[in-house]
Amino acid sequence: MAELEVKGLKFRTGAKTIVDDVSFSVKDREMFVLCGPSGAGKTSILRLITGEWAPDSGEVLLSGENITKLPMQKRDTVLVSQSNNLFPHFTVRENAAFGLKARKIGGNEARERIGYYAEKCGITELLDRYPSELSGGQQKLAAILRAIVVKPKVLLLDEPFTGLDNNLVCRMREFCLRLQRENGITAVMITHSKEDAFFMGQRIGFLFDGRLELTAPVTELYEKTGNEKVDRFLGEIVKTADGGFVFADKVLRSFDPEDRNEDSK
Amino acid sequence: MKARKVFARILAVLFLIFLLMPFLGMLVFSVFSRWPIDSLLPQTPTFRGFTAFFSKDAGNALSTALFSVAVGLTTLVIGIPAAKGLAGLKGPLKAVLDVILVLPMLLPVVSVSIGSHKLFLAFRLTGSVPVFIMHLYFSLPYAFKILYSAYRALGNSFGVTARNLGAGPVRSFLYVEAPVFLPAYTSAFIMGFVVSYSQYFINLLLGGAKNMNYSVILSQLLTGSDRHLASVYSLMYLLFGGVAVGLAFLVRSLAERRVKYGRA
Repeated sequence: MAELEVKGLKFRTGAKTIVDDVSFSVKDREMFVLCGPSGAGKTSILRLITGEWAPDSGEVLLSGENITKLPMQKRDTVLVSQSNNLFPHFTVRENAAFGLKARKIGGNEARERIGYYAEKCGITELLDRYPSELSGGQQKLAAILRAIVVKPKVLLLDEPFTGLDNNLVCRMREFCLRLQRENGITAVMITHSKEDAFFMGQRIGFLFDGRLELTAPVTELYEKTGNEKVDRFLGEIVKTADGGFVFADKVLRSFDPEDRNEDSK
Repeated sequence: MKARKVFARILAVLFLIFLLMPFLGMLVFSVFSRWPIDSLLPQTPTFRGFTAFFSKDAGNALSTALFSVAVGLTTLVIGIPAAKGLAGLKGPLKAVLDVILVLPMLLPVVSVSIGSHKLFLAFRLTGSVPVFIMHLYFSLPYAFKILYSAYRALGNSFGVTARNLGAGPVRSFLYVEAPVFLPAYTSAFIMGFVVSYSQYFINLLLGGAKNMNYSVILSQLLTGSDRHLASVYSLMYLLFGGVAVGLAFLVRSLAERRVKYGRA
């Protein structure tokens, strides 16, 4: 049985359709990525899953249970938002404990869980710091810690690597993937970056103008998919000798010094 | 750079002088009844004003301050959910709302009060209820403007995150939203309090003899010739108002300390 199932989700604001009949399912322990350009409706889908917004029609099922009408605090889905939203008046430890207290988990169990996951996230020494005393990457880790410590059925990640520098993005991707695999976390990540999507996802759903155009395992996406929008979005993918891949439109062409000289004349 | 610093200091000193001068005058005349033009120092020390205040009007000053505290708190109760809900608005509706919300600040108290007085009489509303409603009418826009700006600047994402982590609306408000917005709540309360505390005409028109607030008594003294009495009553006005504002800051600071929640 799918851990998370989204069926025919529709959401409109005024005359504009934001989410248009979107359906997908996420298996237990799977990392599912929703990928698409800005304004495609990715964050809106997460908001509909968390219950921050109510859909006009459609259903959200968690472990088979229809949670579409449940208030957001009763849903077992936790979102790590793009801006982290760490509570500024709490330390990292207190931030992490907030969700546990809300779920009536305290004492030794809370202490142990926070200690365990803080070690996994590599931020044990930062537990008594306030968010304002952390760097961007550390804040992201603290937000992930706060989310996973409550062991939600589904972890939702909203553009988790936006705003981080390139080196940090690479490290964070590897860290998040290892954390997800080692702890068997079921997760939905949304991103506009096809690199992030290919690196993190086991399956990727492509969203354009509120419509889910295609859902496929990553391994089936190296060749042309036959979907015009998806193929145009992905461009040419070049496999490397070591089994990796490169998006052709991301390769920086070498600059001819002669051209430079010509330009400067 | 040095010249700019000196200029800034001169401005600061001038500001302090202009701020303190009337206060110093009040202090002097609160313990002396005369200061003839040909005397170097004030004359005739007296505590007549304090005796009169504590024997006659201290109760009124206290009830006026408490009434305004109630108005300030009510502005918060109404203003917080309203600001939270309306802060998320976008487009032309937001612009219309911005104009509507400042209207009570621009409308003359006299015309609104007289118009409302007729309405209250038609509904047989008398006593302190119409006074309270009118105080609220003039206090709320100022308090709301502060709350609205705070919610527009910070959004409600902290509250949503708390709910997403499993906290109910009450826990989410008390432990996450309120501490984050506490400075705005305090400022909004103080604004609501100050506007209500300084109301004169509303009480004069709608209050009748039973709802005569301290400003009405004070204004009678200020237009009279007894400077000593006027100074004492003005000082007491400042004292009671200052205590209420000070208490608001104290509550804020205590709340900030107590809010350490969730330590595992």
